Amino acid sequence: MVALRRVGEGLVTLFLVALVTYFFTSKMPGNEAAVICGPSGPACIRHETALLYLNHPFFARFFHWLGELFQGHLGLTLAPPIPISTVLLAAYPITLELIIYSQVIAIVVAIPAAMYGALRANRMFDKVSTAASFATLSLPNFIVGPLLVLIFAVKLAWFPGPASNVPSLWSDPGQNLYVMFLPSLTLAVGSIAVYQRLLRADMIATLEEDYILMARAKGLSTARILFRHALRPSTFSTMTVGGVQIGGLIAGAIIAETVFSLHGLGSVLTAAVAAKDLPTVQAVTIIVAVFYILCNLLIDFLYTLIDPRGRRGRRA
Amino acid sequence: MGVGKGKPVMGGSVTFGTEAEESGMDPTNAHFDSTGVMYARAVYDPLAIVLQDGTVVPYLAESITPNSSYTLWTITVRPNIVFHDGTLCDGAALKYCMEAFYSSLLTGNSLTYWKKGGLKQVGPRSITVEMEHPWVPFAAWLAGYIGGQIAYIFSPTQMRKGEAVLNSHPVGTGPFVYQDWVPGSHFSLTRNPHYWRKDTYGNQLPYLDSWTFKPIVDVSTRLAALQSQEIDLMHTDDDPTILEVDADSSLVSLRDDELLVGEPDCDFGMINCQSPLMKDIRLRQAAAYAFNQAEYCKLIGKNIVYPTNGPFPHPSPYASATPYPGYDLAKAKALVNSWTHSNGGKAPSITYTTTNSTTAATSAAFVQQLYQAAGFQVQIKQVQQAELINDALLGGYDVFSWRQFANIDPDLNYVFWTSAAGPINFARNYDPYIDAQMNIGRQSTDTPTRVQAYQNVAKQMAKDLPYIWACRDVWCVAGSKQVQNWNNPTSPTGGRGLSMLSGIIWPTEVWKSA
Repeated sequence: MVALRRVGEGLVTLFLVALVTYFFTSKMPGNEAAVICGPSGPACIRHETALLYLNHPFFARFFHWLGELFQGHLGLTLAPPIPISTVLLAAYPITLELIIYSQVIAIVVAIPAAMYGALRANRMFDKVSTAASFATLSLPNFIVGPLLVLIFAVKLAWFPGPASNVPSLWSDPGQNLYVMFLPSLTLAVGSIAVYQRLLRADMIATLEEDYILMARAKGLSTARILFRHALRPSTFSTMTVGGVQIGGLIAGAIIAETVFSLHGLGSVLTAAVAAKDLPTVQAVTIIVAVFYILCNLLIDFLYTLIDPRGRRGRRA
Repeated sequence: MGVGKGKPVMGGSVTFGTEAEESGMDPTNAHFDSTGVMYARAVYDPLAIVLQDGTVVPYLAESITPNSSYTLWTITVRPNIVFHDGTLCDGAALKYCMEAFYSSLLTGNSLTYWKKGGLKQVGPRSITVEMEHPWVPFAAWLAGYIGGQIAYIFSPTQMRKGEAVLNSHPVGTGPFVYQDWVPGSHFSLTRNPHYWRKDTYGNQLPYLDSWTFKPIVDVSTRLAALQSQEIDLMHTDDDPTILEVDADSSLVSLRDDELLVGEPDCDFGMINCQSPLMKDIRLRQAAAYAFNQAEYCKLIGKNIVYPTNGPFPHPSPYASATPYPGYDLAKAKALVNSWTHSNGGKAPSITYTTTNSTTAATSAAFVQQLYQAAGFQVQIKQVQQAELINDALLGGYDVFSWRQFANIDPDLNYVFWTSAAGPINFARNYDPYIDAQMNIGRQSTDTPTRVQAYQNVAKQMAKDLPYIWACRDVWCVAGSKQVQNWNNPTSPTGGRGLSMLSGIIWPTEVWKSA
C-alpha cells in the first residue's frame, strides 16, 4: 500500500515536471518551425507549425505531446532530423554509467575513510582526511576534470583523454571502466568529501551509544562492531544526502561530459538548449525527471530495509 | 607541413576533432561552414578542385567549359562513376542536382545569373547551364568551398526518399560512405571500396579504412583530446590554442596565413543594417570608431592576427587601402550622443551575439567594454554556431561576432554582399554600387579590372559599414605525427591542390604511418 502510494506520488510529480518543462520550454525564445526552415520562408514555417501542432492552444499542445510521449513517439531532433529516441539511446548509458561509477568510487573511498577516521577521531589520519575532504569540497569539478586530464591523460598517459570512444559495458567491460574512470572520478570527488564528512560524524555519535559499549564489553572485535553494529545506523544522513545529491550529480555530469567530450544526456541537453531544439530538451528533461524520481523511490525503499523503525512506523 | 613522406600505408582510421556540429548533409539546404565542407568532401565529390596557383580544374567533372562569352557552361561528369547506393552518377543525376540547387531557397540565391529554363541535359554525362549574363569565375563555385556547396553532387535516389533522408543519411560518390551519425557525438564513415580515384602508385583511394568527425566545441577539450591521442587531427582559429599547439613538440601543425589565393577569413562584427537601431549610419560609424582594432588583435588575437581595413587583408591579391574609420573614441561618443539626442535621450541598446566558447566570451566582453565606452548599452548573447548561422539567415539581430569570407575567388562572396542574395546577405547591406562592382568582377575576364572592382567593393564597405573589421583570422590544423598527407590534395590528373584554408582539409589522400 505504501509502495503504491509512493509510486502514485511519483507519477503526480512526473506529470507536474512534464507540465512545467513544457510550459517553460514553450516560453523559450525561438521558434522550432523557424529553426527547421532556416531561410526557406513563410510557407515552410506555416507547414512546420501545423506539423508540430504549434498553432494550437497551450494545453492542447501539451496533451498532444504527452500522448505522443506515452506512445514512445519522441519526434525528431530539429537539425539534422534524427529520431530523438536514437540520440537518447546512444547518450543515456554514458550519463547513467558516469553517475553509478562515481557513486561507487565515492562509497568505496568514503566509507573506509570515515570509519577509520571515526574510530581514531582527532588523530593524524582523521585530521589529514578531514583537511583533504575540505580541500576537495572547495574544488569545483570544472577545475578537477581538466586537472585530471592534464596529469593522467596528457602528461602521464595512464588513462584515455577527452573524446575517447566509450565501448558498451556489456561488450567490453574492462575498456568501458578504463575509459570512464577519469570522468567518474571527476564527478566522485565532491561526493567523497560529503559522504566522508557525514558518515564520520554519525559514526562517532553511534560509537558512543550504549549498545556499542555493551558489544565492546562482550568482547566483540572492532571490525565486527564497526561493520555489523555501527555502520548501518550511521548511514541514514548519508543516504538522505545521497538522494538529494542526485540532482547535483546530473548537473555535475553535464560538466564532466563537457570536459571529457562524452556524448551523454548532459551534452545532448546543453546542445539542444543552445540550438533551440525544444523537442529534445523536453525529452531529456522528462528522462532526467523519471531517473530522479526512481532514485528517490529506491532510497525510500532502502530506508525501510535498513531501519526497522520505519517499517513499524508505517504499519502503525 | 602535412605532406606525406614515403609510400602511403593502406588501412587504419583517423578521427578529426571539429569545432562544431553540422545541421544537416543535404547540400541544397545545409549550412556548410568549415566543418560542413569537410563532412561534404568525405561523402560527396565536388565537381572541381582548386590548385595551388588558384586555377580551377575538374574533379568529379571530366570537363567544365564555357562558351566564348561565358554565358553557356557545359559540365560533363566522368564516366562510370556510381553513388554509394549503386546508382549511376550521370548527366541525368547532374541535372537533377542542379535543378534542386536552383529551386532551393538557400542555394538558389547563389544562382541568380542562371537563365530560367536554361539548364539542359545535352548528353549521357553532360549538362549545359545558360546564364543571363557572362559568369566568368563560375567554375570556382564548383570547387565546394564555403558558399559553393552547389559543387557537391548527391544521389537523386536518396533525395527522392525525402530531403530529411538525404539530410541525415547522405549518399554521394565521395571517398567515404556514411555509416553512422549521432549529432554532437560523431559522424562516422567507412572506406568507399568502389571509389573512382587512384593515386600515382596505382593504389585505390582512399587509403584509410574509416574516417570519423567528432565535434568538440570546447577548444581546450579538443586540444587535450589531440594531446592524449584520442583524436588524430583538429582545427581551430582560437589564437591562444594556436600558441599552445605551436609550443607542443609532439604535434605537427599548419596555419593558413601564407595564403596567396582569393582572400582569407576575417574576424569582424557583422551589423544588421536593416535592424531598427543599426540602420542608422551614425551608429554604424560610432561602432567602427569605438572599436580599437590594435588592442583587440593584441589582447584577443595574441598578436597572431593583425588588423584589417576590409575583406581583403594582406597578402590577398585584392588588398588595398580603404577609407575605413580608425579608432577614435571622441568621434564615436559624438555620434552616439547625436543619435541619443535625436531619439528622445535614450542611449542605443544593442545585442551583441557570439558563439559559446570561452574565447568568444572573452572577446565579447572586450567588445562590450569598447562599445559601452562610446555610450552604447550592450547585452551579450551566446549561442551555438549553427544557431548563429540560423539567426543570421533570419535577420533577428543587431551585431554578430562573425568570421567569414575566406574563399578562393571574391566572386564566391557575391551571395553574401549583393542585394540579389536575399537573406544570405546576412548584413542586409543593399548597396547598388557594391552590386555593380560585384557584377563587374563576375563578368570581366580582365584580371586588373576584376582586382579594381573588388577593391572598390572594399572601399564602399568602409563607407556603408556593414562590417566592423577586427583582424585577419588565422586557422590552424594540428595533428599527431602519425597522420600523413593531410595537406596534400591532388587533382585527378596529379596537380597539387590548394593548401588548407579556413581549417578545411581533404580526407581523400590522408594516410597513417605504422
